[in-house]
Amino acid sequence: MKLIKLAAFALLALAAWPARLPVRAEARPPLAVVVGSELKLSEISLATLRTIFRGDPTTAPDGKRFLPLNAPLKSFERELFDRKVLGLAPDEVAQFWITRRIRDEGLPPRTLPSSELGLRVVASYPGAITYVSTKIVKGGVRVLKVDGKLPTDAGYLLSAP
Amino acid sequence: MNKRTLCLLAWLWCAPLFAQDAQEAKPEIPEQTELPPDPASGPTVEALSDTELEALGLDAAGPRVDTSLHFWGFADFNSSQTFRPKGAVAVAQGRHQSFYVGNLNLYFSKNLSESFRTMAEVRLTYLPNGNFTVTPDGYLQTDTSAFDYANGQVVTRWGGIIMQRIYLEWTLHRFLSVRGGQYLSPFGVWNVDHGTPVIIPAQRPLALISNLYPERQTGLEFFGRWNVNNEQTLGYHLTLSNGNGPISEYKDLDRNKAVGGRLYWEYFGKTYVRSGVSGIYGRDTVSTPAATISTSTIDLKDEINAQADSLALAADLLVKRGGLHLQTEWMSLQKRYTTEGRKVHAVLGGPVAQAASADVFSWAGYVLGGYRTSWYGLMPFATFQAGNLSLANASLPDARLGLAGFTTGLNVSPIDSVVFKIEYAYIRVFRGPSIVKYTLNALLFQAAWSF
Repeated sequence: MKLIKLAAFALLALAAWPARLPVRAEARPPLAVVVGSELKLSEISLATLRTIFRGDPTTAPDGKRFLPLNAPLKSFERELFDRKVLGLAPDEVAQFWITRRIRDEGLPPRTLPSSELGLRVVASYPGAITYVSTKIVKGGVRVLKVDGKLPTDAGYLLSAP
Repeated sequence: MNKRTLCLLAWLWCAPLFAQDAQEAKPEIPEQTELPPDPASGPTVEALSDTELEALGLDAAGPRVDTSLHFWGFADFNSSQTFRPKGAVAVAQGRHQSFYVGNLNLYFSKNLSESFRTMAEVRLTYLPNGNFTVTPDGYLQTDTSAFDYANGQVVTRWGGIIMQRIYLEWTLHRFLSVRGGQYLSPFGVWNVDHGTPVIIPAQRPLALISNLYPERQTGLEFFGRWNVNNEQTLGYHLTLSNGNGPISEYKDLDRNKAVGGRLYWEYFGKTYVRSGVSGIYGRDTVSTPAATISTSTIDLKDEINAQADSLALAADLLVKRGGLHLQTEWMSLQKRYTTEGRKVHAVLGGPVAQAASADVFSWAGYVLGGYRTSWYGLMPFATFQAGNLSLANASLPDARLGLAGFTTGLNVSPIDSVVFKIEYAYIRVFRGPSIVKYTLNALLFQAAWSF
């Protein structure tokens, strides 16, 4: 009898044991599109962002060109930005730029080794524009509204999925 | 079940909760996003010095564009095997399996300032060695053998350089840029893509090799684009050029400049769509100068060999969604000969020995579909094409061809810059002079790479 009770207990314990606790993936903060604080710009549209980061010549408010700066390849920031702004999955990016090079439609923006460096370049170089995680945004740069929304707003374009 | 057993069971069930590594436990609610910091308070970004910026290739006082010289290109290696080739197919495609390097295109570009840039693309080729023409006297082949003075007079075969494009580009505004020089005609998808690493099949479709629309032009090109909204863009190209004459790269043989243009629309949604219409109108003249030299003057007169007003029209559609790729192009050419330019010429293989050039309407089109899988970028594809063409050949100036065909194959991209293609092509000429009325059956292999 004891043996039966023990077996029943073991079965119940096994059935009750949760296979794996639900663990949510870490929620990533959204990306902020940043420019130097001297640039008289507070808002940008998705279409203009796309134009700038596709390498098409785009004039900044100070009358000179924007200098787009990309986050490192394969970084979370780069993949999210390419997907949301250029509409490219990670495996499509290289072919996209090879096609544009062969068509002579533009070279990819300069890629910096880290987002932190991108932020420092934006703070130091007028017309530079990049995107970084809102976690690392500091003073000295301006976070732009994208299509009228800040990173804190609901429905912001560059929110992580 | 007694209380002790129930407690033990409850403990066992809850144990994993307590045993969970604190670092593994993730918040159920997404992290509250911090507000962008107020630049006036809190830590500020450490600015880079001019020296640090220079080390990154940035000069705060200089132009905001990369002014270094860029050099890149693409090349392809091919194998072609025709099955039971006969007649014109055997002449054009060869009768035996052949290996060849098809394209070696080199690009150079440089931003001269924020507004000016230059770009050149040249193709190195083995041509004209082996180039052939079919004449009433037979099959004539060009031989470029020469003694190489630098290498002990060994016999070598020289090749050529095809200037694909070279221009100076001036960007006045996003809505207006101007190119002066030689440029690829802005029409369709394929003509501007043109690089074998980015073209899905191994061979160009008939519509692109039939010279219905000039591949390149020399002159001026105006272009720009406008963002209608976040999802849609409109763009245009206007061209003014020498047109499509035999030496249009550097000389217009008549007073009429060719005028052309393209309007296109792009949609950036989950599905990417680009669609456009293009056209070019001009006078095509083939003439040779005839000089009368006297003691004090030289009088030049153009002897016109052929002259026609031509209107080429094209339409294209490109759709991409995920791995799905669909593209289609259609183009036509209407030629109306001038009184002076309608000449009597010999007809090879025709019902009469001689005939006058007839006004023509030619058209061709293709539909290409493929699906890029995530497994090594493998893409099965198929193309269907058809056309009704006037054969642009000196010995068969008015021959009409009705043809249709299909290709099917695989396109594999093991790494981003390398593409392998294997393709079976079947093209049947079902209407035309008996001399060209043959079927092409071919197996093609291509390795294309960009660098």
